Amino acid sequence: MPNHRSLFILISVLTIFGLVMVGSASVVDASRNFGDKWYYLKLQMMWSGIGLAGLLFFSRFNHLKLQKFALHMLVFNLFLLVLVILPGVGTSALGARRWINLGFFSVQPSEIAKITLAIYFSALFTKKDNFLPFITILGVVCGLVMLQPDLGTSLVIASSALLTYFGSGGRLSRLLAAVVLGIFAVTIMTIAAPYRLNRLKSYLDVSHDPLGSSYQIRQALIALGSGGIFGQGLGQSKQKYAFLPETTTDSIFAIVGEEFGFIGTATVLVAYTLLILQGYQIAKSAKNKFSANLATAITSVLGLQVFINISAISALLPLTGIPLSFISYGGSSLVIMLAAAGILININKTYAKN
Amino acid sequence: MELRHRLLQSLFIGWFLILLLRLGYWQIVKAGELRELAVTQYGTSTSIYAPRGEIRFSDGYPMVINSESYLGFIEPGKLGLNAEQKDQLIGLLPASESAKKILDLASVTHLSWLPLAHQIPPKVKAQIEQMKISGLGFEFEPSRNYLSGSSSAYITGFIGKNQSGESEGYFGLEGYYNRTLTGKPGKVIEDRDALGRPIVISQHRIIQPQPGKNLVTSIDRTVQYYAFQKLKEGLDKYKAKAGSVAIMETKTGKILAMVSLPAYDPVSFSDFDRELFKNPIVSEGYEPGSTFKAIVMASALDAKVVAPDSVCTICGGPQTISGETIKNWNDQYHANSSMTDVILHSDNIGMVFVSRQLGKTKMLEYIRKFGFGNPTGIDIQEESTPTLRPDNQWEDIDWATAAFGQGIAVTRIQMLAGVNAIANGGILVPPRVVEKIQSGKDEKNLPVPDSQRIISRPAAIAMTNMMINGVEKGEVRYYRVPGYVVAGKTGTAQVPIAGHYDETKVIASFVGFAPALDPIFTMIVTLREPQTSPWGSTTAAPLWFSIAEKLFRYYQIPPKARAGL
Repeated sequence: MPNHRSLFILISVLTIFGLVMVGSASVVDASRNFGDKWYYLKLQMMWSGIGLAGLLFFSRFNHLKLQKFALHMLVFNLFLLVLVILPGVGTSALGARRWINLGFFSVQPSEIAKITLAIYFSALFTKKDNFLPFITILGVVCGLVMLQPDLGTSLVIASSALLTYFGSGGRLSRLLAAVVLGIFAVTIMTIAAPYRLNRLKSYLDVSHDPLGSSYQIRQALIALGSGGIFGQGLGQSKQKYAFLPETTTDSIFAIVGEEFGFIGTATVLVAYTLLILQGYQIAKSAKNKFSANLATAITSVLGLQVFINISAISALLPLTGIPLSFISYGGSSLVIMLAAAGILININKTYAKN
Repeated sequence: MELRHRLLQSLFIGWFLILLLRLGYWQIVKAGELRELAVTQYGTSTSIYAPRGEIRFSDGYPMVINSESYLGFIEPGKLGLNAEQKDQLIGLLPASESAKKILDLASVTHLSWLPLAHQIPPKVKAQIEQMKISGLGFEFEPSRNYLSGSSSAYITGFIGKNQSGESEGYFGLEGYYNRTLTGKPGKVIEDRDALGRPIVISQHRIIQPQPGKNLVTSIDRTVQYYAFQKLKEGLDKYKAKAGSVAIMETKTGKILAMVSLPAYDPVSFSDFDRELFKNPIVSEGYEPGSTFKAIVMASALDAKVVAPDSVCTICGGPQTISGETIKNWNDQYHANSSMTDVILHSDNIGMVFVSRQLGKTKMLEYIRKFGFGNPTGIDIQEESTPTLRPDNQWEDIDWATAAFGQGIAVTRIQMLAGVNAIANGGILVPPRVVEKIQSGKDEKNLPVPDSQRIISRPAAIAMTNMMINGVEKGEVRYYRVPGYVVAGKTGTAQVPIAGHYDETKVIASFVGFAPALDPIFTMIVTLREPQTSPWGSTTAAPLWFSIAEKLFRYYQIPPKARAGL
């Protein structure tokens, strides 16, 4: 059984490292767009404060109570997901409607969906053979997220739900059917939206359209390579000078690689892997089915996000636009993942005592 | 469900290992390659102009220099210009017509930048700047100033743009010495972001430009001027289509002057026919005519097959070879002429006799030894040579006519260098134009090309005496400069057109050296299609002597009371 103090320290260290990286990676954009080079860092510090408060809260809040609110949370989340795609409500950025503006800040309902679905499915999988409602709800949520459109988030949601289903002991034949269905859906979406097809092509062939869609992956690799083994040193990234798109969000791992080298990327990778292994360890040790499912679900969301992101940056998977949990800039993602980590700590606490 | 959770853990452990290997691949194995890519995309260098080397006359006076000039451009969107200012502006600009067109275009174009005029002098730029027109700007643009203009165009060549848009020297010295003259541009290397803005955290480096090297030529400013002036007058006087003068320092082969007309202007070269760009003295083949007799006779004297007083046994009338009849120019024949008389009368039949005495193989050997058929190696880019036909393709008729300079093509510079070898006591010196290369305070003499004895000194002296005799007693005697002994030979050759000789198209020439027994200079003068008379003796020769007269004074050569033979 993992020590929940070490879990807490591991998550805090990753979050603080994230602040350092956001600060370093965003100076160029921040000073250019806001005239304040620490603009993004200040916002991210606020969010991590809120997130850590959430973590502390949920690590003390009995997670078992969440099971009762699972449906309510899901319904509310579905409402938000519908709201965000309505014209005039959602805030669009870069061709996507992902945010609901609440005046002083905006939230991303699809980020919230990661955790509400984790809770809902964990509750659902406490009973046997709920495959049909599972696949229906998953289909609806992913469909709504796709309407924003946000393929990356739907993929994380769907695949983490499938891992949760697997972890809960779901039937392998049905799992296989769901995977086939998922692949079919993604294929249709990819062909329907040309930019996705291009990203796929650029993944398959780096020489295809070097300044178009493979530009980002090429710049990410240049950043990784420039870092070498030991890195250029904190703040020394040159790729962040407008060469590498999405420096502070999806591509931040490339900046980690450029400034801290292979030593840095390997260390971060080891830290995440330890966290993920501990998460499944918690699931394994949980005596209650809901607790076990929830630990699996949260760990799977975290693990998939982090590993898909790093795989994309190192050109193993096509770019999908998934943030690096705890490190990437972005309030919704950070607060949700820290709160989820709090739940994980609470599950650990609950069964470690016994 | 412990197994399933363990499987999930294994999934991520496997994935972790793959990612670790992948990151190691990019950050360790491929790091060098990717870092190079990075350097190419950040490093932007701004080049710093390196001035091109200048070209000077023998006394250091500039022949070609650099000058400051500007490219004027407009940004049509920002252009603020009223009608009065527009007229004033057009009046100030060089190439005002094209400038006017561009200004008219400015109001309709969607382009953000248009070049208005090139080569704007600093003075004009200052005047325009005082008008304070918005949307009008200047950029430094180096320009080349050819101080002697078209008179030295065939020495200097010019600067044009090569295929990649860079300045490059073409023709003449600009072409031959392009690499020496071209400086190495300096560089300011700065890291820039994807939008071209300097990256503040990195420092920039400066590589200082290296200016090109200067050339000091052997061209004498005064001699070049005389040659140009006299040739210009000569073209008018004899109504010739074209003409060339080349003067060489006898003992060293240094070119003192080289002029051809018509010429082009090296600055506005693009306004001229490209045919004009090549220096005809070094690149145009022509039939030397009777001037070539000096070469063949000198060869025969060296081979000791004839002596100045040898008697021509076939000179009594025309000769028929392979069905073609060879005649003298005036159809007059002098039986039993001496070799000296053969040169004096410019006797074709006499030369056929000489060629037979010499033999075909020997004659061809001598022609090659004199440098014909090979480039002289003069440092003018466009030098080329007509090729001599292979030795086994010389028919009897070719061999016979070559003896008097027909059916063989040479360049003027080859002819000059060949006769210069006679003047120089039998030693052939390759002609050259540049003597020294200066870079900063360093001055380096170019190595003197190897000279070579091709005929004996006595043969050269004997030939010189025949040429003196020809000048003293021949048609050209009326043009002699009293008190100065000149050795020379006239020539008149028809220009072969489509395999036939056109009676009306001739190249009249005179080649010679003075003072004959201790020569200072050797000079060739050619005139194309002189209308007053086709003969070299009455056109090219007087022009030669009129230039020589100037040179005698310029070199302060004391006249002799009597010409000694």
